[in-house]
Amino acid sequence: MEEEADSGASRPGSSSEQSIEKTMAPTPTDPGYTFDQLVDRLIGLPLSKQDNKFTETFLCLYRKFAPPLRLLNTLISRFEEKERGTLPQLTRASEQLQLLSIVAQWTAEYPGDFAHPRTRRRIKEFLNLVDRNHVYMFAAKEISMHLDISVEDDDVGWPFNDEDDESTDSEDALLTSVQSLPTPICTNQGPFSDDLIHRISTLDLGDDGPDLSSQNSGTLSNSSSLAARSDSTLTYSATMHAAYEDAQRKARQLSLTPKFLLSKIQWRLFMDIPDDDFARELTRIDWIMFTSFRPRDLVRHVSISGKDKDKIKSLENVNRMIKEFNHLAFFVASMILLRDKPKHRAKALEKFMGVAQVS
Amino acid sequence: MGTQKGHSAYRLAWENSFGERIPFLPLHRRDLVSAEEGNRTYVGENGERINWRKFDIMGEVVMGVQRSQRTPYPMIQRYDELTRLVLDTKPMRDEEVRPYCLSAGRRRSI
Repeated sequence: MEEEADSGASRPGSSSEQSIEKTMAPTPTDPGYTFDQLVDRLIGLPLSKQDNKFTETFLCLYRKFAPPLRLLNTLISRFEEKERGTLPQLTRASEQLQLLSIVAQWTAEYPGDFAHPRTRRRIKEFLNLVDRNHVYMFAAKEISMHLDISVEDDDVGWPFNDEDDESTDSEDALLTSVQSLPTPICTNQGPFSDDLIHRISTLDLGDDGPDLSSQNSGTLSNSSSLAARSDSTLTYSATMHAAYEDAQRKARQLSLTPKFLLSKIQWRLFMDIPDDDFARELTRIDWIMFTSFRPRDLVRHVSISGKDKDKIKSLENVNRMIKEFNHLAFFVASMILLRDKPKHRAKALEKFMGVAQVS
Repeated sequence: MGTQKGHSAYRLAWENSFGERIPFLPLHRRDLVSAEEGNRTYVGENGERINWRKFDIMGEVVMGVQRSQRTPYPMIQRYDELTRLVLDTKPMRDEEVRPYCLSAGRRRSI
């Protein structure tokens, strides 16, 4: 907190920085923050390495205290406030792009948050509006691409879901914001050349994702942080998703199929296999299982009560890894204890220790 | 890497390894559970302010796991025979394992 206060004082701060200083200092007896304060910090220009972690942590865990639609509405209303504000053009553009880059990160990492039809509609409408402004057009297109991956929502186990939120306030807010988004957006000339605008509007970003992002992100954006992030999130989203599904597919093939009771045959087989191979294979199996689920799955698994855990389909990957881990533990114990004679047991123990020390 | 001092040796190693790594899940799960249950989500007079400290703590665990998931291992060749050995064997379960320990103890005290 001190870092933000100091750096804010020495810069000719933007509006968001000043309000962050005022609202972020928690009183000693009441250490909490309101949802709005957290969102303000989320979209503020990053001032320290802490803020990067804050963004990641917030996006991963916010569903413990708010449904996705609420976060979306709050972000959209912040965007609109700034559009109506009186900041100089460049500052406003960079702050808005920062906000949009947060949305881009959110849609890239957790597309399932937008599975609910109302949330999806809200963000599509927002993007359509934003798209009209050439300054934000590229960001809007990138976010749309993230949303194109159709994913189910993994909302089992979160305390806050969009389906529970039956309030009609969100519908009203939608109507008023559509009408009141001021026309200055469309007529803003901004600092960008006509040539650039023409190039962007005629390109079909759907086909040539990665190449285009490297061509255009350098010239389009003022804030270099957005450029770096749009390069990475554009390909990140697609490749991470592919890797994730690949791991899930492989993990399914690695399910436990206990057939043979442990006997001397296996024992001899095991003792003959070189340590390196054993270690490597175990790592391979563990790695596939480990990458088949996301951190959020682990968090949900922890909060769901005992007997329901095994039944939830979306947590099958976490369950599989846990089962395999336990299986391995019993495997090691059984292997060591199979033979009665201490000398055999010692041999097995040494073998396992050797395997464990392979780097 | 024992259980002394809350697995402090493991924790030190975990924080300082920057290559590929797979976490020791039971420990991180326990951390998440204790963060989840040991701290209130809401604080304040009417319970409407969010206790961000709690999520900071959970976030530390999550960040570590996320970082390790993003650092891929180099391609490892499959070793099917071994895979089948590990996955197809039915290890002895608790009740069966204990008798083995007991019988060994009777013959020779270890």
